[in-house]
Amino acid sequence: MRRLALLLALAGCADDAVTRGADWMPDGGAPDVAVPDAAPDARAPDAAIPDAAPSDAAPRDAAPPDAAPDAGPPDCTAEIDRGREELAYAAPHEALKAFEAALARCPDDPDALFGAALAGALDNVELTYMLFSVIGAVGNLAITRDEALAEDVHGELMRLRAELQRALDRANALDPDDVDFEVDAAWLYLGVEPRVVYRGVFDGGDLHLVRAGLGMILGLLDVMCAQDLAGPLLDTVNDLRDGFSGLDFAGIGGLVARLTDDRFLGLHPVDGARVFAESRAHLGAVGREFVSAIEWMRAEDDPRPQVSRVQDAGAGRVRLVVASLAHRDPDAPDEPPAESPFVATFDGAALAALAHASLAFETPGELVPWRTEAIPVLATVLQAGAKFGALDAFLGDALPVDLGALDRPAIEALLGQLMPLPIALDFSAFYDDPTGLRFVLPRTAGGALVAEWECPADLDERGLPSGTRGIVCGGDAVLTDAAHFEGALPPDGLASSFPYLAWDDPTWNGLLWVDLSGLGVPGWDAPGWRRPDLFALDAALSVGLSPLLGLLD
Amino acid sequence: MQNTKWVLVWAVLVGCATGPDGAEPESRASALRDAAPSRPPQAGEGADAAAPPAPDAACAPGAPTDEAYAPGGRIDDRSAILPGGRRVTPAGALVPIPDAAMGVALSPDGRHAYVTSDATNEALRVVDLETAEVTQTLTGFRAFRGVAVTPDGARVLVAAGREGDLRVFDRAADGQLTPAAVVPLEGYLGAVAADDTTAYVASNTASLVFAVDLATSTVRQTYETGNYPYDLVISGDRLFVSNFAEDTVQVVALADGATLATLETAKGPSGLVADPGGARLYVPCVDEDVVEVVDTGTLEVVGSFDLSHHPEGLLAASPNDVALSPDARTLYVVQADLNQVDLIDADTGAVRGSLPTAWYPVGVQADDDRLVVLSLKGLGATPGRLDPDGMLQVVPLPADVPALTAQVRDNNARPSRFYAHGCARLGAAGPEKIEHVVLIVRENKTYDMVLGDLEGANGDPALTLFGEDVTPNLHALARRYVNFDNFYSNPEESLQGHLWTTQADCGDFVEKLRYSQLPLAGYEHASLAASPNIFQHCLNHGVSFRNYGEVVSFGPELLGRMRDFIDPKYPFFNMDVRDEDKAREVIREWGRGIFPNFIYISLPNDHTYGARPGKPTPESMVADNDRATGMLVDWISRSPYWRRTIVFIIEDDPQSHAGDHVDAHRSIALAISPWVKPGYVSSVHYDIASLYRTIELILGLPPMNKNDANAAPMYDIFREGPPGPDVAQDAALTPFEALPLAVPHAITPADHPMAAESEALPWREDVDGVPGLGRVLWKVRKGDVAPPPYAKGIDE
Repeated sequence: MRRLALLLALAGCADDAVTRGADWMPDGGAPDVAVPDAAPDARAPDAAIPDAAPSDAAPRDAAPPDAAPDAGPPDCTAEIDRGREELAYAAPHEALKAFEAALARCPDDPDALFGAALAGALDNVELTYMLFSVIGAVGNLAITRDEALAEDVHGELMRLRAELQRALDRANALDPDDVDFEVDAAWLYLGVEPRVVYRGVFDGGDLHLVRAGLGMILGLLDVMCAQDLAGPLLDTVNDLRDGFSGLDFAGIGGLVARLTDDRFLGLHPVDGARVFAESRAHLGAVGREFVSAIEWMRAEDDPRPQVSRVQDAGAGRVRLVVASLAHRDPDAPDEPPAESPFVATFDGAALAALAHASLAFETPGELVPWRTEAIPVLATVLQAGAKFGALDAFLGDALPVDLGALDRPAIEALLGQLMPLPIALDFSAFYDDPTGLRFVLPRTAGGALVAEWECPADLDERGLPSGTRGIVCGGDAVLTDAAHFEGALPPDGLASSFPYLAWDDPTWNGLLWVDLSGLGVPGWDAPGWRRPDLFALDAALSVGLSPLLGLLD
Repeated sequence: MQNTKWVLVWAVLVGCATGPDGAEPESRASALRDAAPSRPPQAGEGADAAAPPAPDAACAPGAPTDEAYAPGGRIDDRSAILPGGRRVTPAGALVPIPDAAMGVALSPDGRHAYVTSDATNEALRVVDLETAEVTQTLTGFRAFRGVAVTPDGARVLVAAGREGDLRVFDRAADGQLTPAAVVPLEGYLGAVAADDTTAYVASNTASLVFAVDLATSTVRQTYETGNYPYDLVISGDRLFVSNFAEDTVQVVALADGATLATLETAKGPSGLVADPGGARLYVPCVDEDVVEVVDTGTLEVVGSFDLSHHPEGLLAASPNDVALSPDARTLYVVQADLNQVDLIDADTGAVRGSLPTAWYPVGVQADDDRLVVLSLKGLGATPGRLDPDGMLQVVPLPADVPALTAQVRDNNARPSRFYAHGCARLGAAGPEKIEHVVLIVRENKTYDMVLGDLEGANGDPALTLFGEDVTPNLHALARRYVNFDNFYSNPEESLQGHLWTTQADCGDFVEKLRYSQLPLAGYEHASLAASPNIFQHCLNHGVSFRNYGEVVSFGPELLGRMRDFIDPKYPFFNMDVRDEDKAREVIREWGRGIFPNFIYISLPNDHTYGARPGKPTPESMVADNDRATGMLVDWISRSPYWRRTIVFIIEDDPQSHAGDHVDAHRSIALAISPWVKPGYVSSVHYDIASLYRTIELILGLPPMNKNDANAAPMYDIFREGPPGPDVAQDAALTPFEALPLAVPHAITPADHPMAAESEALPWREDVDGVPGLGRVLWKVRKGDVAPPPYAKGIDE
């Protein structure tokens, strides 16, 4: 049996892929259960045929209710075993029902609790992927009754969120020391493709990973659920979908104008404030739980095959072994998918960044610098998402870079080079005054961004420069430090090829801090974090995003 | 409904007053609320409802009648057989409207009709009712059903739906129009009502009514309405609004815009009419087959006339517009799905009779000596053109109502005469029976497009684009089991099609609004039938089921009570996932014993992306779909389920616009089972409703609505008795071996000759229809070969 880890952690990432049966695996990695992708005729039942719909919630072999109070503690082994069996058949919804049947009789049983948490997480991640895939397939409906649709979408997201929260509640109800849950296999599919299979023993470290993963997903879902979507929702979704492959400045302006519609992206009138606040707790827990998982596994000394493990990688680094990714060979699609565990290596700084990110959600003034702390976290999430194929649902093949082919340090370096933003983030201040996401967007007027460039000779009749997609001044353009917005803002000493944008709140509700030292701009030559004004924010974007735009050329 | 005093009741009326049309009342009754709680069926009702023959316990339906084999499509310039097997024989003088006709208004002098259309930018036509000719066509905009003539006859007002403005035309004495003003408004505009100084215009999407001053062409006032204001009537100092999507009638004070009352109605309140005395308002509710009666004094719903025309009240008659005779004694109600106008006693609701219309009537106007009826689909499709033209009928009054009523009944009863006897159950013999029905729904093909090259059936290889070289599995299955060569897909495009494949019906909301691509079909309330869809139907009757990939009809309950019946791994309509992979996922579930009684599988990739660069080639997508179809049948035929299973394969609609030499609605259907006649070609006229009636008879389900209740079950395809005991004794039990993928997966290159034209198709604007795709597919597969003359619509 092998040691594997959770997709849901979205944190365990490979920087050196290990093939199945690699030498770190105690038993060479041979599977000991049939995967559910074997040839169909080999799997057709030849005896009793269960015809009942899968909604048949009653456990097929559940024991009858206890006859008397003194009959001793109930035995839920049958339900739990059935849950494990459903997990092995890649049926997390049915597994969840089995574990819930067990919980109905054995509410404190650790296996039932962990099984329900795991199955609930897997089931709802699959469902989430399917729902977002639907969005990707939606065409443009020319005119819609947006408000009714927005409330429908909000309601569906809230239902999904409630199911995931139930899974997290179950995970949180467990003591890590009580978790010892062995499975032959537990599959996660994204769409029709198997992506992950877990085999072996889930232990306390895995419980922390489950919590971290659910916290990440729930935190993001919270942010979505907290928004009032009663604006031009479908048109916006279509713009987003289409825009990844072709937005120019006018297109971006149109999209931002939609998002800043005064009906759109404020806090939802009923659920907004509460749910947004809960995203703080959910996201704030991610780093802490992840570090706890690492620490738990470092101290672990269990000889049995584990779902995940931590190895000493030397030089103060640890290697989290996460297994297994499942790969279906497109040339042999009827064969069982191959399995290839992967590994993510973390140094002390990366783990400290993760821990500090958690602290920053709780403590105002705890800044998370983009370059040294935010990028490692983002690289971890992106690479995990790419490896597991989760990004496909959102981006398709629109990204110019195949993140799944890169290891984590490479993604970290790429992000650092493409987006060297001189900013830091104050999450706690951001959450102290929830207002919805509209405020993070620049101002628009007449469906276009309010923007100016400092290359007057380079602008065409539309007022757009010749650089990347009309977003930046052309390479040969002469830059002129100028006053902005009809003299409202004086020249600031930085002639930039990036558009100077108008912002209602350059601090992004307290989230942003900047350090522009090194630009040679008077007044900004002293290092240190400062709250941005309009100039500082535009300068930070100019410095931080220009390389990324260059990639789009 | 609230505030109702009366309840529905059936009563036999004898000797009711004669109406202005000279018709004697039929033995149908109105509903007088609080009178009686039950609705006993009446003598003769079955004929009116086109009910199928009484079930025969022995299930010996006999051979299909000669009538059953007639092809669908136009018979002559005045009649046609519709996809569902019903016939239309519109009465009176006929004026073809070469577009999707939506709304009609008459001039005060009764000499001219003004007809709106929403399919192209030829939005408004002037019809001379004396000569029955179109005398003027105004272009450059599109209109839903919003057209009105001011009472002084000086102006014609049209709400340009998509453009979101009111078009004002000056009207000359000869009825001709001259553009006078364009008043910008907001949203997708629908109905218009007017007096001599003010036009009231409903914005369907903004839920507003604009009061436009006709002298200044400015908005004088704006009234808030409920969701989707469909029709407007001015009565005194009040405006009545039917809010279609929330099932209410709203009463608005014109002076200050205050809502005086909001009355709950049955589902889908549609066209309105008020009596001249201002005492009553009549509200046809299209999804529940009733006309609600509102007392405009007390502002209460005081009665409800049942127009279901079915002894058990099954729905799908679809009353959607209403007019009142000048003496206010007769209501004329257009019944869209029955292709008839009902003549109703305005006081009692008694049905005096019916007049035959063209396909899908949507508007009616009446004066003393004439009834003007507008139908959306006229005489239906032709072999080369799927989207039908509309039809205006001018019916002189009084009419020979008894004879015309008999004609309507005969027209609608036609499918029920295909067999002499009925069966209470199909696919059962002794202890053995079919217990599993698998329905595979694919995308957008006519019969000839795929099976036109199949020998031994009524195909036309000249129109075959994806023949056996691309679809070997379908061809092999057609040869081996049952192929239907006279099967019709009822809808024109997928917004309707997936409603048909899930509920054997498409409601009025989608039938009309599909041209604007406005509805979230099968998701939003207004688009859903009041009758159960097949998934709800199974759930209600204890039939186990599973849905692979169908979001229509399922979406609203997806995370609710339907959550247990989907596989989240299986994508909803997603052509970027290969159908072979989708089939593998289904087979994976089947392999672990998930094989319920009813299995619905959406396999969409034969829709194709045309020749869009970067997308799979159309040949490879259709081949992928074909291989997936073969894989599914292969697995079932090797499983223990086989001897208790039947598989049906259909397309959701025939909308690839690539023609069919019989009728552009003719489509593909196969039945695969050891219980069916091997190698049989059924040439009986069937449709999606027939398919569902067959499925229901197999699974022991009652009909969902009037469409499947009246449809002919597919009796002829079953062989006598169950399959033999084993393979050695019965060749039908021999497993089907799926044939290999005929065309390898390939991507359309950017320099493909049809790439630019494909890329220019409105993939985003038209989520569903993609006009022009048929022409692209023809060019991709046939090159410069011109379509045959009877299919020249492909090139349009």
